[in-house]
Amino acid sequence: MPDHSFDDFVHAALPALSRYAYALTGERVAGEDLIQDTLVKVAGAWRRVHRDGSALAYARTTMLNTYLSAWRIRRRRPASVPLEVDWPGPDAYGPVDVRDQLRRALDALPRAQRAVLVLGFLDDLSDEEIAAMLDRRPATVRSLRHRGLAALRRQLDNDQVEGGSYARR
Amino acid sequence: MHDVDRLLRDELHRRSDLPAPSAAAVVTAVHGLRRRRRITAVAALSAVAVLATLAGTISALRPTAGSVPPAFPPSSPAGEVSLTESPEVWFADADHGFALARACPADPCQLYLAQTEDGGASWQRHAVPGETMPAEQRGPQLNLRVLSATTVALDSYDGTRRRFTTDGGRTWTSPSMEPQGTVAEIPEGGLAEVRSNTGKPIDIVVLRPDGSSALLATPPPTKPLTSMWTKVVRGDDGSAWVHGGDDTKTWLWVSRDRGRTWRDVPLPGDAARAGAGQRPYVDHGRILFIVESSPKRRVWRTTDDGAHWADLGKDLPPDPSGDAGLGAVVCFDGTLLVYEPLSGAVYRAMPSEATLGRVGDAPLWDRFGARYLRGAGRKTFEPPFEHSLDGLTWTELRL
Repeated sequence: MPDHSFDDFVHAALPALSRYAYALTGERVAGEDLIQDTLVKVAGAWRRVHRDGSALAYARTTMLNTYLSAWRIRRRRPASVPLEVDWPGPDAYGPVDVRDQLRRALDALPRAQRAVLVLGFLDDLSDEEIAAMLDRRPATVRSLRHRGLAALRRQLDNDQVEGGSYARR
Repeated sequence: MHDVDRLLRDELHRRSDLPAPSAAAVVTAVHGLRRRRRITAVAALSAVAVLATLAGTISALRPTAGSVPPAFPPSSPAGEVSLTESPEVWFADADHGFALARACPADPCQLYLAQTEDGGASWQRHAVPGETMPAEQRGPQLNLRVLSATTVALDSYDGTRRRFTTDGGRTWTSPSMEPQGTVAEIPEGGLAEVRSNTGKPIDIVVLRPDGSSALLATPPPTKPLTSMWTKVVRGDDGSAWVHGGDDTKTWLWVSRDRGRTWRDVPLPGDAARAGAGQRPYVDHGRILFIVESSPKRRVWRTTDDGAHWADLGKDLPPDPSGDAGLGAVVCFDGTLLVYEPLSGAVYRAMPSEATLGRVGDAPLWDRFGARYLRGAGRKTFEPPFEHSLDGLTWTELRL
């Protein structure tokens, strides 16, 4: 009988994997790329992964490692443009949308900080669980989260000031 | 001041709620990506191999080559005996097998014949007198010809010398390779080879169990013939097979009476064309396969010496360019395994099955007499080598 176990796994695991991929990348296309790259690696190790019986956990860790890998970072991808560069013009409708600010600020974070925030805020994982998934120490995870949140806060506050001044021009 | 924690949580949940892509599309894309990356990797490795070979050649040709690191792998340490590259291995039966090996305590290396009597669990090594090879030479340029569980001939490629043993390599003689007289049949315990004669019909040269050679009195009765196999291939049922052709046609001949009479096996599809490259797989003897990869992928099987052929390959993925090829191996029970290199998939047709069906993507192995052999290295057919009787359990070939 042909072995369709990998294809079956993709069907079952796709919702969970796409959830992570979209949260990490913030873009649909980039998220789908990340899913594919992850599954290519999982397929390469499928017999061992399938035998060990923890395919989803393996795929999730593979996705995080793929996302954080230097190779992927070096690949050229469309990047979010800083807010001040593509501001369309004086906003007649009031202050800048906070959500847009947050999205841009999140996309500007270093990948390790973003991964820690996604794992902590999306799935409420503990520092120890995140540390195990990312192969870092819990103290490093705490530091990454602290720095990530601080950067977001700083960016939002700055944008609020700058956006307001821009709107007043 | 913003509530960053709440905003962040909302944003991440919003992102993660995007609808997942189509699973079928992702599966297709993943398999396609794997295929493309495999092809790219193979191309890159080939390029590296070509460059390495060129570099080695250039280094060897330079007057100052002595100061340059050798392009070939370093010799084995003194006393260590290792398989020759492109392993020369053959199992006479499930328990008895032979392998050519070499030891390089100095240059040139000494050639050894390794023998097992317990299915490859242990090996005894015997030096072959007078057979040495330069350390940088990959193979011994000798054909390993196993006649029985204890009898082996080592014939030089150039046809000038034969080393012969009847006790597993403990003692050796050097009989002539030149045929002496004729024999009526390929004797029990003997082997046969095809000798092409320019402008004339082929000869069959028989290697007798005593190490001498003779011409077979009744080779296949055909027109001037170019052999496509150097060996007269022996099927598991004792049948003898010769494959060859001329400018107009390709033939396959079978003898089921040790070479006294020969029958022309009708070939299917493009396999009978002149210069057809499709290799018949005759290992089983009664079940015969022909694997065509170009211009169209077809896998033929016959069980009545070519009177009827069935195409088993209807479900193979197409390869319009015809460049990828197909690998195949016939198992001892007549099952055919086909390896599709673009996807890395293996297809199987058991004797009772009418079509090939995909069974996984395990690397394919080869048959070396009465056992299967495979390379367990990172690349195809690369050391360490493993052997198996059933294709399920494998033992490392460790001399």
